Amino acid sequence: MSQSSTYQQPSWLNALNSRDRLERERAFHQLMDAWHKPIYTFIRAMVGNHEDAADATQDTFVQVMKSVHRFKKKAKFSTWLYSIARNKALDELRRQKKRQHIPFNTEFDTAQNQLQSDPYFEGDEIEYRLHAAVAILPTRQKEIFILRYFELIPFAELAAVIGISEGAAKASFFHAKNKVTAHIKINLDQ
Amino acid sequence: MPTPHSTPPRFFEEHRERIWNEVADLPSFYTLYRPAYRWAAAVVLFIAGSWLFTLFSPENECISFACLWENTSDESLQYLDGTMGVWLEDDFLFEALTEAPTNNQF
Repeated sequence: MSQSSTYQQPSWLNALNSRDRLERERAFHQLMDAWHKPIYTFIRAMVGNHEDAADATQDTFVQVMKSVHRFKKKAKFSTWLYSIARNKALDELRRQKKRQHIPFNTEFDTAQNQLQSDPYFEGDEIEYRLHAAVAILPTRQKEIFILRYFELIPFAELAAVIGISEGAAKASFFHAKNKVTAHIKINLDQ
Repeated sequence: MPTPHSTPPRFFEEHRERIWNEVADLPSFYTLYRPAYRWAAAVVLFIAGSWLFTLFSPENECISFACLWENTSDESLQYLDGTMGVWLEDDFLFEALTEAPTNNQF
């Protein structure tokens, strides 16, 4: 049995490319109902602030609508969608670096201060520590940790999103988890 | 898993509307590619037609010895020793006949 036949694609997928504007709009709303919040949440955790996350999320869905006819349906729709979102998030991180915006991946205290000054972050003490620890992870480990821990994506799928082997994804997650745990413990002990 | 990230009020509704405004008037795949598909189909039909015409058109038949000779492969020019022997004997006979003095003494 071919791999493609094992994936059930969303019922509205073909309609995203319909010539009928009304049908296309209906499919667009179904897409957004299903994926707007998860994709925003993923990108938000990656880029670290609401404004950049909103821009990258918008770019993601515009890209989806523009290129949905090229989606070969040999993968799960969610894998394809997360791949686009990931690329947009990485683009945003590069832009942050260019803007000399103090990036998230500096030091734990800086990351925590940035979170505390973010009006759209409403966490308790442990969540501040957790998100600050995630923010300072290297990009690869950060995206794997976010996809697995916050988005609950299976390893096989997140490996496909990033374009690495499942084993490599598991190893990266293991390292990321150890770093995050260490940061939380150190900072709780202080 | 719920995250502590929050958004401004009505963010998702307004954001969705903004995205739709950007993509609503995108030409659909069929509108965008239909002319290209038509051209591609025309080219494929032309190539297929030319190939079929070449395949089924009758070859020119030879009407001269030169053409026949050109179309004869070397491999087809193989003769048995017996045949060659007959030809040699014919040649000798021909030479003997042509070199013999004539008896026409009128």
